Amino acid sequence: MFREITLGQYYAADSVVHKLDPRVKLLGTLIYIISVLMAGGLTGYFIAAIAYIIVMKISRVPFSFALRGLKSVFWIVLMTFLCNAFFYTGGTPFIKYGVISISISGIEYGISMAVRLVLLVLGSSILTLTTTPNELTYGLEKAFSFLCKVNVPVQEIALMMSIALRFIPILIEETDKIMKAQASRGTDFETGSIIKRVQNYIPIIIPLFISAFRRAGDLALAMESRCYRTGYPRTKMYPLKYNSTDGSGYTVLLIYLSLFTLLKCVLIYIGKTGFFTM
Amino acid sequence: MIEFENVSYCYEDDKKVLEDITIKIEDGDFVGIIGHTGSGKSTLIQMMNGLLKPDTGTIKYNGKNIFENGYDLRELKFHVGVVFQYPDYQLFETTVLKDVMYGPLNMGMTQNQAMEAAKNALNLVGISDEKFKKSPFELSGGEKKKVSIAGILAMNPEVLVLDEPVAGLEPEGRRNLLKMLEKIRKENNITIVMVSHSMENVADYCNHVIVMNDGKLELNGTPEDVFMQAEKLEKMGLSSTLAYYIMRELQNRGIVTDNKTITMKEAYACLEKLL
Repeated sequence: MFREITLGQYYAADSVVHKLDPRVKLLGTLIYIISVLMAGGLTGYFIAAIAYIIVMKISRVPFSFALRGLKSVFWIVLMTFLCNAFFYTGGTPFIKYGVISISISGIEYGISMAVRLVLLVLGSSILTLTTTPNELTYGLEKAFSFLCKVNVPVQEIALMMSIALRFIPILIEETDKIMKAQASRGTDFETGSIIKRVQNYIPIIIPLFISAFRRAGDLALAMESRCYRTGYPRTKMYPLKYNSTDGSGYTVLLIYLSLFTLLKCVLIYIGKTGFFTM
Repeated sequence: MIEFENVSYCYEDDKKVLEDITIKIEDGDFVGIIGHTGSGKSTLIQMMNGLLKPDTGTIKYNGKNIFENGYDLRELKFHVGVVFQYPDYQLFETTVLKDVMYGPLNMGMTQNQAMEAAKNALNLVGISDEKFKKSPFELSGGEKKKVSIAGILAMNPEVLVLDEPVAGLEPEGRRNLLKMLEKIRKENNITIVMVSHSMENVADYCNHVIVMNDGKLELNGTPEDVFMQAEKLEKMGLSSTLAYYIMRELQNRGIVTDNKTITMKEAYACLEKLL
Protein backbone atom coordinates (compact mmCIF):
# COMPACT_ATOMS: atom_id res chain seq x y z
CA MET A 1 0.00 0.00 0.00
CA PHE A 2 2.77 2.41 0.95
CA ARG A 3 5.61 0.76 -0.88
CA GLU A 4 5.89 3.49 -3.50
CA ILE A 5 7.49 5.99 -1.13
CA THR A 6 11.21 6.18 -1.92
CA LEU A 7 12.01 9.28 0.10
CA GLY A 8 14.46 8.08 2.68
CA GLN A 9 14.96 4.75 0.97
CA TYR A 10 18.37 3.38 0.36
CA TYR A 11 19.20 1.60 -2.88
CA ALA A 12 22.21 -0.66 -2.42
CA ALA A 13 24.67 -0.58 -5.32
CA ASP A 14 28.41 -0.53 -5.81
CA SER A 15 29.27 2.91 -7.12
CA VAL A 16 31.53 5.90 -6.55
CA VAL A 17 28.59 7.93 -5.33
CA HIS A 18 27.71 5.32 -2.73
CA LYS A 19 31.30 5.27 -1.45
CA LEU A 20 31.63 9.04 -1.13
CA ASP A 21 31.90 10.45 2.36
CA PRO A 22 28.40 11.43 3.50
CA ARG A 23 29.68 14.95 4.25
CA VAL A 24 30.54 15.39 0.57
CA LYS A 25 27.06 14.25 -0.37
CA LEU A 26 25.48 16.54 2.21
CA LEU A 27 27.34 19.53 0.80
CA GLY A 28 26.51 18.31 -2.69
CA THR A 29 22.83 18.27 -1.85
CA LEU A 30 23.09 21.75 -0.40
CA ILE A 31 24.91 23.03 -3.51
CA TYR A 32 22.37 21.36 -5.76
CA ILE A 33 19.49 22.97 -3.87
CA ILE A 34 21.22 26.36 -4.09
CA SER A 35 21.75 25.94 -7.82
CA VAL A 36 18.12 24.94 -8.43
CA LEU A 37 16.90 27.89 -6.38
CA MET A 38 19.31 30.19 -8.20
CA ALA A 39 18.03 29.08 -11.58
CA GLY A 40 14.78 30.70 -12.56
CA GLY A 41 14.42 29.58 -16.14
CA LEU A 42 14.46 26.59 -18.42
CA THR A 43 18.14 26.72 -19.36
CA GLY A 44 19.15 26.72 -15.72
CA TYR A 45 16.82 23.82 -14.95
CA PHE A 46 18.15 22.00 -17.97
CA ILE A 47 21.72 22.27 -16.67
CA ALA A 48 20.60 21.12 -13.23
CA ALA A 49 18.70 18.21 -14.77
CA ILE A 50 21.78 17.17 -16.78
CA ALA A 51 23.85 17.28 -13.58
CA TYR A 52 21.22 15.11 -11.89
CA ILE A 53 21.21 12.58 -14.73
CA ILE A 54 25.01 12.35 -14.76
CA VAL A 55 25.19 11.71 -11.01
CA MET A 56 22.37 9.17 -11.25
CA LYS A 57 24.21 7.34 -14.05
CA ILE A 58 27.36 7.19 -11.95
CA SER A 59 25.40 6.06 -8.89
CA ARG A 60 23.89 3.09 -10.79
CA VAL A 61 20.52 3.65 -9.17
CA PRO A 62 17.84 2.87 -11.77
CA PHE A 63 15.83 5.95 -12.78
CA SER A 64 12.58 4.08 -12.41
CA PHE A 65 13.42 3.53 -8.75
CA ALA A 66 14.19 7.19 -8.11
CA LEU A 67 11.18 8.42 -10.09
CA ARG A 68 8.84 6.41 -7.89
CA GLY A 69 9.54 8.95 -5.15
CA LEU A 70 7.87 11.59 -7.31
CA LYS A 71 4.51 9.86 -7.08
CA SER A 72 4.05 11.00 -3.51
CA VAL A 73 4.68 14.66 -4.38
CA PHE A 74 2.68 14.65 -7.62
CA TRP A 75 -0.31 16.45 -6.08
CA ILE A 76 1.88 19.07 -4.44
CA VAL A 77 3.58 19.76 -7.76
CA LEU A 78 0.22 19.99 -9.52
CA MET A 79 -1.19 22.31 -6.86
CA THR A 80 1.90 24.52 -7.06
CA PHE A 81 1.50 24.83 -10.80
CA LEU A 82 -2.24 25.51 -10.66
CA CYS A 83 -2.01 28.06 -7.85
CA ASN A 84 0.68 29.99 -9.67
CA ALA A 85 -1.05 29.73 -13.04
CA PHE A 86 -4.45 30.85 -11.73
CA PHE A 87 -3.61 33.38 -9.04
CA TYR A 88 -0.39 35.00 -10.25
CA THR A 89 -1.06 38.73 -10.34
CA GLY A 90 2.23 40.02 -11.76
CA GLY A 91 1.54 39.69 -15.48
CA THR A 92 -1.12 40.98 -17.83
CA PRO A 93 -3.99 38.47 -17.61
CA PHE A 94 -5.73 37.28 -20.76
CA ILE A 95 -8.46 35.67 -18.66
CA LYS A 96 -9.75 37.38 -15.56
CA TYR A 97 -12.67 36.08 -13.52
CA GLY A 98 -12.99 37.12 -9.89
CA VAL A 99 -9.81 36.17 -8.08
CA ILE A 100 -8.68 34.00 -10.98
CA SER A 101 -6.33 35.67 -13.39
CA ILE A 102 -4.43 33.70 -15.98
CA SER A 103 -1.50 35.29 -17.68
CA ILE A 104 1.44 34.08 -19.75
CA SER A 105 3.90 35.09 -17.04
CA GLY A 106 1.72 33.32 -14.46
CA ILE A 107 1.79 30.07 -16.44
CA GLU A 108 5.52 30.45 -16.96
CA TYR A 109 5.99 31.03 -13.27
CA GLY A 110 3.83 28.00 -12.49
CA ILE A 111 5.88 25.76 -14.79
CA SER A 112 9.05 27.18 -13.32
CA MET A 113 7.96 26.43 -9.74
CA ALA A 114 6.75 22.93 -10.62
CA VAL A 115 10.01 22.04 -12.38
CA ARG A 116 11.94 23.50 -9.46
CA LEU A 117 10.03 21.33 -7.00
CA VAL A 118 10.56 18.19 -9.08
CA LEU A 119 14.29 18.88 -9.33
CA LEU A 120 14.54 19.58 -5.60
CA VAL A 121 12.83 16.31 -4.73
CA LEU A 122 14.85 14.29 -7.25
CA GLY A 123 18.14 16.00 -6.37
CA SER A 124 17.82 15.51 -2.64
CA SER A 125 16.69 11.91 -3.12
CA ILE A 126 20.16 11.08 -4.50
CA LEU A 127 21.49 11.62 -1.00
CA THR A 128 19.05 9.21 0.60
CA LEU A 129 19.22 6.72 -2.25
CA THR A 130 22.97 6.34 -2.03
CA THR A 131 23.57 6.88 1.69
CA THR A 132 22.35 4.58 4.43
CA PRO A 133 20.51 6.37 7.24
CA ASN A 134 23.39 5.55 9.56
CA GLU A 135 26.02 7.05 7.29
CA LEU A 136 23.83 10.08 6.86
CA THR A 137 23.52 10.59 10.57
CA TYR A 138 27.28 10.19 11.10
CA GLY A 139 27.84 12.69 8.35
CA LEU A 140 25.45 15.19 9.89
CA GLU A 141 26.92 14.62 13.32
CA LYS A 142 30.44 15.25 12.03
CA ALA A 143 29.44 18.19 9.85
CA PHE A 144 27.70 19.96 12.74
CA SER A 145 30.00 18.85 15.54
CA PHE A 146 31.38 22.38 15.82
CA LEU A 147 28.03 23.33 17.37
CA CYS A 148 28.98 21.27 20.42
CA LYS A 149 31.08 24.23 21.49
CA VAL A 150 27.95 26.33 21.91
CA ASN A 151 26.25 23.55 23.91
CA VAL A 152 24.08 22.16 21.14
CA PRO A 153 23.56 18.44 21.88
CA VAL A 154 24.64 17.38 18.39
CA GLN A 155 25.20 13.77 19.33
CA GLU A 156 21.78 13.39 20.91
CA ILE A 157 20.06 15.06 17.98
CA ALA A 158 21.93 12.76 15.62
CA LEU A 159 20.85 9.75 17.64
CA MET A 160 17.22 10.87 17.63
CA MET A 161 17.44 11.35 13.90
CA SER A 162 18.91 7.95 13.20
CA ILE A 163 16.25 6.31 15.36
CA ALA A 164 13.48 8.24 13.64
CA LEU A 165 14.83 7.28 10.21
CA ARG A 166 15.16 3.69 11.29
CA PHE A 167 11.54 3.62 12.44
CA ILE A 168 9.93 5.04 9.31
CA PRO A 169 9.95 1.84 7.22
CA ILE A 170 8.93 -0.21 10.25
CA LEU A 171 5.97 2.02 10.97
CA ILE A 172 4.95 2.04 7.31
CA GLU A 173 4.96 -1.74 7.26
CA GLU A 174 3.06 -1.84 10.52
CA THR A 175 0.42 0.56 9.21
CA ASP A 176 -0.09 -1.76 6.29
CA LYS A 177 -0.57 -4.76 8.59
CA ILE A 178 -2.92 -2.88 10.90
CA MET A 179 -5.01 -1.67 7.97
CA LYS A 180 -5.32 -5.24 6.74
CA ALA A 181 -6.30 -6.52 10.18
CA GLN A 182 -8.99 -3.85 10.56
CA ALA A 183 -10.18 -4.21 6.96
CA SER A 184 -10.76 -7.86 7.85
CA ARG A 185 -13.18 -6.62 10.49
CA GLY A 186 -15.02 -4.54 7.93
CA THR A 187 -13.42 -1.09 8.30
CA ASP A 188 -14.53 0.98 5.38
CA PHE A 189 -11.89 3.42 4.17
CA GLU A 190 -13.62 4.53 1.01
CA THR A 191 -17.19 5.62 1.60
CA GLY A 192 -18.97 7.96 3.97
CA SER A 193 -18.64 11.63 4.90
CA ILE A 194 -15.25 13.14 5.62
CA ILE A 195 -15.84 12.98 9.39
CA LYS A 196 -16.90 9.35 9.16
CA ARG A 197 -13.80 8.54 7.13
CA VAL A 198 -11.52 10.24 9.64
CA GLN A 199 -13.26 8.26 12.38
CA ASN A 200 -12.59 5.09 10.44
CA TYR A 201 -8.88 5.74 10.82
CA ILE A 202 -9.03 5.68 14.63
CA PRO A 203 -8.72 1.86 14.68
CA ILE A 204 -5.52 2.29 12.64
CA ILE A 205 -3.95 5.16 14.57
CA ILE A 206 -4.38 3.70 18.06
CA PRO A 207 -2.63 0.35 17.47
CA LEU A 208 0.07 2.23 15.54
CA PHE A 209 0.76 4.59 18.44
CA ILE A 210 0.74 1.79 20.96
CA SER A 211 3.17 -0.23 18.92
CA ALA A 212 5.43 2.80 18.42
CA PHE A 213 5.52 3.44 22.17
CA ARG A 214 6.20 -0.21 22.88
CA ARG A 215 9.03 -0.26 20.36
CA ALA A 216 10.49 2.92 21.78
CA GLY A 217 10.38 1.42 25.27
CA ASP A 218 12.03 -1.80 24.11
CA LEU A 219 14.72 0.14 22.30
CA ALA A 220 15.45 2.33 25.34
CA LEU A 221 15.73 -0.77 27.48
CA ALA A 222 18.06 -2.47 25.01
CA MET A 223 20.25 0.64 24.85
CA GLU A 224 20.37 1.02 28.60
CA SER A 225 21.28 -2.60 29.11
CA ARG A 226 24.24 -1.94 26.83
CA CYS A 227 25.17 1.04 29.02
CA TYR A 228 24.22 3.78 26.61
CA ARG A 229 24.65 7.18 28.19
CA THR A 230 24.18 10.58 26.65
CA GLY A 231 26.68 13.37 26.81
CA TYR A 232 29.84 11.28 26.73
CA PRO A 233 32.41 11.37 23.96
CA ARG A 234 31.83 8.34 21.79
CA THR A 235 34.08 6.58 19.34
CA LYS A 236 32.82 5.10 16.11
CA MET A 237 33.15 1.60 14.74
CA TYR A 238 33.85 3.04 11.31
CA PRO A 239 35.10 6.61 11.78
CA LEU A 240 34.59 8.89 8.81
CA LYS A 241 37.82 9.66 6.97
CA TYR A 242 38.26 11.59 3.76
CA ASN A 243 40.11 9.96 0.87
CA SER A 244 41.14 11.19 -2.58
CA THR A 245 37.74 10.51 -4.15
CA ASP A 246 36.13 12.79 -1.60
CA GLY A 247 38.63 15.50 -2.58
CA SER A 248 37.65 15.17 -6.22
CA GLY A 249 34.02 15.18 -5.14
CA TYR A 250 34.41 18.52 -3.40
CA THR A 251 36.30 19.89 -6.42
CA VAL A 252 33.57 18.86 -8.85
CA LEU A 253 30.92 20.39 -6.58
CA LEU A 254 32.78 23.69 -6.31
CA ILE A 255 33.32 23.83 -10.08
CA TYR A 256 29.60 23.16 -10.63
CA LEU A 257 28.57 25.87 -8.18
CA SER A 258 31.08 28.40 -9.54
CA LEU A 259 30.09 27.84 -13.16
CA PHE A 260 26.43 28.00 -12.30
CA THR A 261 26.87 31.22 -10.33
CA LEU A 262 29.06 32.70 -13.04
CA LEU A 263 26.47 31.94 -15.71
CA LYS A 264 23.73 33.47 -13.60
CA CYS A 265 25.83 36.59 -12.91
CA VAL A 266 26.67 37.02 -16.59
CA LEU A 267 23.00 36.65 -17.52
CA ILE A 268 22.00 39.20 -14.90
CA TYR A 269 24.75 41.52 -16.12
CA ILE A 270 23.68 41.40 -19.75
CA GLY A 271 20.03 41.55 -18.66
CA LYS A 272 18.95 38.27 -20.22
CA THR A 273 17.36 36.56 -17.24
CA GLY A 274 13.90 35.18 -17.79
CA PHE A 275 11.75 32.12 -18.28
CA PHE A 276 13.75 30.70 -21.19
CA THR A 277 17.21 31.42 -19.79
CA MET A 278 17.74 31.39 -16.05
CA MET B 1 -15.90 -23.43 -0.34
CA ILE B 2 -12.81 -21.52 -1.40
CA GLU B 3 -11.14 -22.37 -4.69
CA PHE B 4 -7.78 -21.11 -5.94
CA GLU B 5 -7.21 -21.66 -9.65
CA ASN B 6 -3.68 -21.14 -11.04
CA VAL B 7 -3.08 -18.24 -8.70
CA SER B 8 0.22 -16.35 -9.03
CA TYR B 9 1.44 -13.26 -7.23
CA CYS B 10 4.60 -11.15 -7.52
CA TYR B 11 6.04 -8.28 -5.54
CA GLU B 12 6.88 -5.11 -7.41
CA ASP B 13 10.46 -6.23 -7.95
CA ASP B 14 9.14 -9.32 -9.75
CA LYS B 15 9.99 -11.61 -6.89
CA LYS B 16 7.55 -14.49 -7.11
CA VAL B 17 5.59 -14.98 -3.92
CA LEU B 18 3.01 -17.43 -5.22
CA GLU B 19 3.37 -19.55 -8.30
CA ASP B 20 0.48 -21.30 -9.98
CA ILE B 21 -1.44 -22.36 -6.89
CA THR B 22 -4.52 -24.50 -7.33
CA ILE B 23 -6.27 -25.61 -4.17
CA LYS B 24 -9.77 -26.30 -2.99
CA ILE B 25 -10.96 -25.81 0.57
CA GLU B 26 -14.16 -27.73 1.23
CA ASP B 27 -16.87 -26.65 3.64
CA GLY B 28 -16.42 -27.95 7.16
CA ASP B 29 -12.75 -28.83 6.71
CA PHE B 30 -10.04 -28.11 9.23
CA VAL B 31 -7.19 -27.09 6.93
CA GLY B 32 -3.59 -26.74 8.05
CA ILE B 33 -1.10 -24.71 6.03
CA ILE B 34 2.55 -25.37 6.78
CA GLY B 35 5.70 -24.02 5.22
CA HIS B 36 8.94 -22.24 5.87
CA THR B 37 8.98 -18.53 6.74
CA GLY B 38 8.57 -16.64 3.46
CA SER B 39 7.02 -19.58 1.64
CA GLY B 40 3.90 -17.60 0.77
CA LYS B 41 1.55 -18.79 3.51
CA SER B 42 0.58 -15.31 4.67
CA THR B 43 0.06 -14.12 1.10
CA LEU B 44 -2.16 -17.12 0.50
CA ILE B 45 -4.44 -16.42 3.45
CA GLN B 46 -4.64 -12.72 2.69
CA MET B 47 -6.12 -13.66 -0.66
CA MET B 48 -8.86 -15.72 0.93
CA ASN B 49 -10.76 -12.62 2.06
CA GLY B 50 -9.72 -10.44 -0.83
CA LEU B 51 -7.06 -8.32 0.92
CA LEU B 52 -4.60 -9.15 -1.85
CA LYS B 53 -5.47 -9.58 -5.48
CA PRO B 54 -3.57 -12.22 -7.44
CA ASP B 55 -1.70 -11.13 -10.58
CA THR B 56 -3.08 -14.06 -12.53
CA GLY B 57 -5.56 -16.81 -11.75
CA THR B 58 -8.91 -16.70 -10.03
CA ILE B 59 -10.16 -17.12 -6.48
CA LYS B 60 -13.70 -18.29 -5.98
CA TYR B 61 -15.81 -18.23 -2.87
CA ASN B 62 -18.85 -20.49 -3.06
CA GLY B 63 -18.40 -20.68 -6.82
CA LYS B 64 -18.23 -16.92 -7.43
CA ASN B 65 -15.07 -15.13 -8.58
CA ILE B 66 -14.32 -12.66 -5.79
CA PHE B 67 -12.39 -10.25 -7.99
CA GLU B 68 -15.11 -9.95 -10.58
CA ASN B 69 -16.63 -6.50 -11.07
CA GLY B 70 -19.52 -5.95 -8.73
CA TYR B 71 -18.48 -8.54 -6.16
CA ASP B 72 -18.74 -7.03 -2.67
CA LEU B 73 -15.30 -7.58 -1.18
CA ARG B 74 -16.23 -5.89 2.09
CA GLU B 75 -19.14 -8.28 2.49
CA LEU B 76 -16.79 -11.20 1.78
CA LYS B 77 -14.72 -10.26 4.84
CA PHE B 78 -17.73 -11.00 7.05
CA HIS B 79 -18.00 -14.50 5.59
CA VAL B 80 -14.29 -15.29 5.51
CA GLY B 81 -12.83 -13.99 8.78
CA VAL B 82 -9.06 -13.65 8.91
CA VAL B 83 -7.29 -13.45 12.28
CA PHE B 84 -3.76 -12.13 11.96
CA GLN B 85 -0.80 -13.33 13.95
CA TYR B 86 -0.34 -10.32 16.21
CA PRO B 87 -3.38 -9.22 18.21
CA ASP B 88 -1.69 -5.84 18.82
CA TYR B 89 -2.46 -4.87 15.24
CA GLN B 90 -6.13 -5.23 15.88
CA LEU B 91 -7.02 -4.16 19.43
CA PHE B 92 -7.83 -0.48 19.81
CA GLU B 93 -11.00 0.09 21.83
CA THR B 94 -11.33 1.18 25.44
CA THR B 95 -12.82 -2.10 26.62
CA VAL B 96 -12.57 -5.72 25.54
CA LEU B 97 -16.29 -5.91 24.86
CA LYS B 98 -16.31 -2.79 22.67
CA ASP B 99 -13.35 -4.06 20.73
CA VAL B 100 -15.07 -7.34 19.91
CA MET B 101 -18.22 -5.41 18.98
CA TYR B 102 -16.32 -3.46 16.32
CA GLY B 103 -16.70 -6.11 13.59
CA PRO B 104 -20.40 -6.83 14.23
CA LEU B 105 -21.17 -3.09 14.24
CA ASN B 106 -19.40 -2.74 10.90
CA MET B 107 -21.68 -5.48 9.59
CA GLY B 108 -24.64 -3.25 10.41
CA MET B 109 -25.85 -4.94 13.60
CA THR B 110 -27.54 -2.79 16.26
CA GLN B 111 -25.72 -2.07 19.54
CA ASN B 112 -27.69 -4.78 21.34
CA GLN B 113 -27.18 -7.40 18.66
CA ALA B 114 -23.49 -6.58 18.48
CA MET B 115 -23.13 -6.81 22.24
CA GLU B 116 -24.90 -10.16 22.22
CA ALA B 117 -22.62 -11.46 19.45
CA ALA B 118 -19.53 -10.14 21.21
CA LYS B 119 -20.45 -11.72 24.54
CA ASN B 120 -21.10 -15.05 22.88
CA ALA B 121 -17.79 -14.93 21.02
CA LEU B 122 -15.86 -13.98 24.15
CA ASN B 123 -17.46 -16.78 26.13
CA LEU B 124 -16.66 -19.17 23.32
CA VAL B 125 -12.94 -18.36 23.42
CA GLY B 126 -12.93 -18.55 27.23
CA ILE B 127 -12.77 -14.90 28.28
CA SER B 128 -14.83 -14.54 31.43
CA ASP B 129 -17.41 -11.80 32.04
CA GLU B 130 -15.35 -9.85 34.58
CA LYS B 131 -12.78 -9.06 31.88
CA PHE B 132 -15.32 -7.51 29.48
CA LYS B 133 -14.88 -4.05 30.95
CA LYS B 134 -11.09 -4.21 31.08
CA SER B 135 -8.88 -2.40 28.61
CA PRO B 136 -7.63 -4.85 25.97
CA PHE B 137 -4.12 -3.52 26.57
CA GLU B 138 -4.12 -4.72 30.17
CA LEU B 139 -4.56 -8.34 29.12
CA SER B 140 -1.85 -10.97 28.92
CA GLY B 141 -0.52 -12.07 25.52
CA GLY B 142 -2.67 -15.20 25.45
CA GLU B 143 -5.80 -13.30 26.43
CA LYS B 144 -5.14 -10.67 23.76
CA LYS B 145 -4.90 -13.46 21.23
CA LYS B 146 -8.21 -14.91 22.37
CA VAL B 147 -9.89 -11.49 22.22
CA SER B 148 -8.58 -10.95 18.71
CA ILE B 149 -10.03 -14.30 17.65
CA ALA B 150 -13.31 -13.40 19.35
CA GLY B 151 -13.28 -10.14 17.37
CA ILE B 152 -13.54 -12.17 14.19
CA LEU B 153 -15.76 -14.92 15.58
CA ALA B 154 -18.33 -12.33 16.66
CA MET B 155 -18.97 -11.64 12.98
CA ASN B 156 -20.08 -15.25 12.72
CA PRO B 157 -17.94 -16.12 9.68
CA GLU B 158 -18.46 -19.25 7.62
CA VAL B 159 -14.72 -19.67 7.17
CA LEU B 160 -12.30 -18.80 9.95
CA VAL B 161 -8.72 -18.23 8.81
CA LEU B 162 -6.01 -17.99 11.46
CA ASP B 163 -2.35 -17.04 11.00
CA GLU B 164 -0.37 -18.97 13.62
CA PRO B 165 -3.06 -18.89 16.28
CA VAL B 166 -1.01 -20.73 18.91
CA ALA B 167 2.34 -18.97 18.41
CA GLY B 168 3.53 -17.47 21.66
CA LEU B 169 1.12 -19.43 23.84
CA GLU B 170 2.16 -21.83 26.59
CA PRO B 171 1.39 -25.55 26.00
CA GLU B 172 -1.83 -25.50 27.98
CA GLY B 173 -3.02 -22.37 26.20
CA ARG B 174 -2.25 -24.03 22.88
CA ARG B 175 -4.24 -27.12 23.71
CA ASN B 176 -7.19 -25.11 24.97
CA LEU B 177 -7.23 -22.84 21.96
CA LEU B 178 -7.05 -25.71 19.49
CA LYS B 179 -9.74 -27.65 21.33
CA MET B 180 -11.88 -24.56 21.30
CA LEU B 181 -11.39 -24.13 17.54
CA GLU B 182 -12.32 -27.76 16.95
CA LYS B 183 -15.42 -27.31 19.11
CA ILE B 184 -16.50 -24.18 17.24
CA ARG B 185 -15.94 -25.91 13.94
CA LYS B 186 -18.16 -28.82 14.89
CA GLU B 187 -20.88 -26.85 16.69
CA ASN B 188 -21.18 -23.88 14.35
CA ASN B 189 -20.41 -26.01 11.31
CA ILE B 190 -17.72 -23.68 9.98
CA THR B 191 -14.52 -24.19 8.01
CA ILE B 192 -11.20 -23.46 9.67
CA VAL B 193 -7.93 -22.67 7.92
CA MET B 194 -4.90 -22.48 10.17
CA VAL B 195 -1.30 -21.56 9.42
CA SER B 196 0.97 -23.33 11.87
CA HIS B 197 4.59 -24.15 12.52
CA SER B 198 3.67 -27.08 14.71
CA MET B 199 3.48 -30.32 12.74
CA GLU B 200 1.91 -31.99 15.78
CA ASN B 201 -0.94 -29.48 16.01
CA VAL B 202 -1.64 -29.85 12.30
CA ALA B 203 -1.53 -33.66 12.44
CA ASP B 204 -3.78 -33.74 15.51
CA TYR B 205 -6.52 -31.42 14.33
CA CYS B 206 -6.53 -30.97 10.57
CA ASN B 207 -8.07 -33.20 7.95
CA HIS B 208 -6.49 -31.39 5.00
CA VAL B 209 -2.87 -30.26 4.89
CA ILE B 210 -1.32 -27.80 2.45
CA VAL B 211 2.48 -27.56 2.29
CA MET B 212 4.01 -24.45 0.74
CA ASN B 213 7.62 -24.01 -0.30
CA ASP B 214 9.10 -20.99 -2.10
CA GLY B 215 5.69 -19.91 -3.29
CA LYS B 216 4.86 -23.28 -4.74
CA LEU B 217 2.32 -25.83 -3.61
CA GLU B 218 4.47 -28.83 -2.67
CA LEU B 219 2.06 -31.19 -0.99
CA ASN B 220 -1.70 -31.12 -0.69
CA GLY B 221 -3.74 -33.87 0.88
CA THR B 222 -4.71 -35.65 4.06
CA PRO B 223 -2.34 -35.44 7.04
CA GLU B 224 -1.43 -39.11 6.48
CA ASP B 225 -0.44 -38.43 2.84
CA VAL B 226 1.65 -35.44 3.84
CA PHE B 227 3.40 -36.53 7.01
CA MET B 228 4.38 -39.94 5.60
CA GLN B 229 6.70 -38.06 3.22
CA ALA B 230 9.23 -37.15 5.88
CA GLU B 231 12.23 -36.81 3.51
CA LYS B 232 10.41 -34.40 1.26
CA LEU B 233 9.34 -32.29 4.23
CA GLU B 234 12.87 -32.27 5.63
CA LYS B 235 14.26 -31.02 2.33
CA MET B 236 11.98 -28.00 2.68
CA GLY B 237 13.29 -27.28 6.16
CA LEU B 238 10.19 -28.78 7.76
CA SER B 239 9.74 -32.13 9.43
CA SER B 240 7.22 -34.86 10.00
CA THR B 241 5.64 -35.37 13.41
CA LEU B 242 7.45 -36.70 16.44
CA ALA B 243 5.10 -39.71 16.58
CA TYR B 244 5.99 -40.59 13.00
CA TYR B 245 9.72 -40.54 13.77
CA ILE B 246 9.32 -42.64 16.91
CA MET B 247 7.26 -45.24 15.09
CA ARG B 248 9.65 -45.25 12.14
CA GLU B 249 12.54 -45.94 14.46
CA LEU B 250 10.58 -48.73 16.11
CA GLN B 251 9.79 -50.12 12.67
CA ASN B 252 13.49 -50.01 11.70
CA ARG B 253 14.27 -52.02 14.79
CA GLY B 254 11.56 -54.52 13.90
CA ILE B 255 9.36 -53.77 16.88
CA VAL B 256 6.36 -52.60 14.89
CA THR B 257 5.41 -53.45 11.34
CA ASP B 258 3.88 -51.14 8.77
CA ASN B 259 4.19 -47.61 10.15
CA LYS B 260 1.31 -45.34 9.17
CA THR B 261 1.20 -43.46 12.42
CA ILE B 262 1.46 -39.70 12.52
CA THR B 263 -0.20 -38.65 15.77
CA MET B 264 0.71 -39.44 19.36
CA LYS B 265 -2.78 -40.81 19.96
CA GLU B 266 -2.40 -43.39 17.20
CA ALA B 267 1.13 -44.23 18.31
CA TYR B 268 -0.11 -44.71 21.84
CA ALA B 269 -2.91 -47.01 20.70
CA CYS B 270 -0.53 -48.99 18.52
CA LEU B 271 2.04 -49.44 21.29
CA GLU B 272 -0.62 -50.33 23.83
CA LYS B 273 -1.58 -53.31 21.67
CA LEU B 274 2.01 -54.50 21.69
CA LEU B 275 2.30 -54.47 25.45
